[in-house]
Amino acid sequence: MTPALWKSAANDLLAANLQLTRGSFTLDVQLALAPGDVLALLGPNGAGKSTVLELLAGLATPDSGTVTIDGAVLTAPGRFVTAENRAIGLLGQEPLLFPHLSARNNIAFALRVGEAHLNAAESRKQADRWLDRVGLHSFGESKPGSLSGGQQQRVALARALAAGPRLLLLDEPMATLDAETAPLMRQLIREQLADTSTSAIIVTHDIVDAVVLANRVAVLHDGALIDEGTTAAVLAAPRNPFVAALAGVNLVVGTTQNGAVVAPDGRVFWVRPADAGDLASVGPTPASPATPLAVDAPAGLDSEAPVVPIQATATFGTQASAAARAPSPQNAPAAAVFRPASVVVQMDRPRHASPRNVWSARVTGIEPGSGGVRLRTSGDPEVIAELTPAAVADLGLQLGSTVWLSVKATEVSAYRR
Amino acid sequence: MIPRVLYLPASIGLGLLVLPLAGLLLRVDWPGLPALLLSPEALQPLGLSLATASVSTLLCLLFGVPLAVVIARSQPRVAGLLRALVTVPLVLPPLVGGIALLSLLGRGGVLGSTLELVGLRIPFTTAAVVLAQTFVALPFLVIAVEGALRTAGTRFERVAATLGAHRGTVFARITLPLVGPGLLAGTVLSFARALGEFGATALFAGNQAGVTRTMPLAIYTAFNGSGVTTDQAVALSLLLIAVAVIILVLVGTRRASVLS
Repeated sequence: MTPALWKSAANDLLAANLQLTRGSFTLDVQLALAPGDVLALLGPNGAGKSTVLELLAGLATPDSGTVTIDGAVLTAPGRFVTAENRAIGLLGQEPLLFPHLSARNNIAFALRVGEAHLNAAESRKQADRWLDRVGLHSFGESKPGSLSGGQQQRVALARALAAGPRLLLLDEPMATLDAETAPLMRQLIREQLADTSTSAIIVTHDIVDAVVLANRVAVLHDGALIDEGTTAAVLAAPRNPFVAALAGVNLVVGTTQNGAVVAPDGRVFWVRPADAGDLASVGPTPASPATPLAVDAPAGLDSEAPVVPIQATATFGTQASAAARAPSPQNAPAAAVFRPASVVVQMDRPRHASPRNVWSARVTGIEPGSGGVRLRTSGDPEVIAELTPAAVADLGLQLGSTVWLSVKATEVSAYRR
Repeated sequence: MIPRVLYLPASIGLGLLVLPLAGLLLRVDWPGLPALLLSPEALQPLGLSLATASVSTLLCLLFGVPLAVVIARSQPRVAGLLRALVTVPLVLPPLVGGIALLSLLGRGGVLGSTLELVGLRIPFTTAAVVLAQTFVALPFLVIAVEGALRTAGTRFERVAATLGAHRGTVFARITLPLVGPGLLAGTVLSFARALGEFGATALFAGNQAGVTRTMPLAIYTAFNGSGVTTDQAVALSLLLIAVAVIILVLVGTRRASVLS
């Protein structure tokens, strides 16, 4: 054992090594989480994702293996700390609010039995503050049955965090919510995890969850981890069909600027109006004066020169440090997502009236894809365009060709991170 | 939506349940009723019945709820076996139950002879009444609560555990309230069953006025005409019906207020 390994083990919040066999299914997983990490656990149905969470939470016992958190051994041969003594929270698809208790008393229950161990009066007072935090100030007296699914899940999130978990496990917490409620819940989870500095593992099918909530991604397939790393790295270089399908989108992880997303290499991605408003409006800090990168209005993107990478990189550096100090509408971490089929490839610089993102790049790869030919193009991150074989032939594309790429702003969705 | 042909058998079924009671009401000697009900022959069995049925119901709760929890949370095979054992007294004729109790606790019984050595004699005492009632009422409570527990499942208990709640807390603050309606129904059923218990009591506890003569035994005694009239049997029956109805109404309103 090298000193470096010892050091890394000591710095880990969670270290898990789990083996389990049930019938023909075998699980063999090693996981580590640093304090503050949010890990997205991706994988197809039946990969064992929920089982991993149950083993970590102490709701199931592995055949062999260990789980340690903060250096405390929870699971080991001959040792099994029960769920109630682990301080590991679990928020599942269903809120599972105690039906006989009001929203306030559901949270108060967690404050009494959880790490805080508050008395009855104090727990009710604190519960009201939690209801405030999840935007349900006036619903304290409501029984779960009279709340909507989204409201119930917000109470369940407050309850799970109020227990003061050292680690929160989220098992597809948006799965049962409708398309309008899910993004709000996602943002709330992101905010509350950050506010409470809670480390988390989130099981999900949705790339957006991984992008918005997680800084690390692990991919589980047939009971084994087949990929693990930072969100951007794993999604940028998918190692199995599941991740490829999941990541079959272009993902630009960068920072916000005037309602657009700026890539690490300085390219500015204007996004659909609804998301642009979201990127620009949130946070207490008023918008700072526009930086050179974002001087152009969306319609002015078709200006003469593409963004110069050197200038962009320099600017990005200062943005990153500013973002680290105080996330705000300007320079806050954000991601833009668009489909490869939305990318238009042309040999000449296009002229358009509609708001578009236009840049030039070199072709770095031409490979078969699910919907035709996938064209990999230079940049950080690389952007993949999908076009028909006929179009590739028409344009005479080859490795190293310089092409003009464009994406309509309305085709680009964006998320704060 | 109801097929019309169902109305006829439904009416017959309802009539089968209601008409005998109506017949009973028609037989009541209303002018003489107050005197009959206030007589010691009526009040004494009523008091004994209410007292023994209450104690039996308490015993059912004390032992039945834990038993229900154990069955509901056992492995399926163990649970099936336990459930069968609990159901046997339910389907057994109460008279057989009385003989069984005598066989265990009677003078020559396995446990009875041992208890006799330390000077304890259970048969033909008020304790025997309580024991007989508990024997016949306990299955009702266990089945009702166990069903409620299985319906509620363990999901809420698991969530409570991940929040840090220990088993005792989970049981008291989550499990019990969750099965509240089932618990209430089981309690009412047990009390009603204990109140109406006749066969096992008659064999195991006898029919001694003031000691083991509960309402059903008093009705039987009155009906058999040992010094009292059929009028008295009818009056006592009416009293038992009234008690049952009052309990149902009380529970019904409690339940409604709990749910609202």
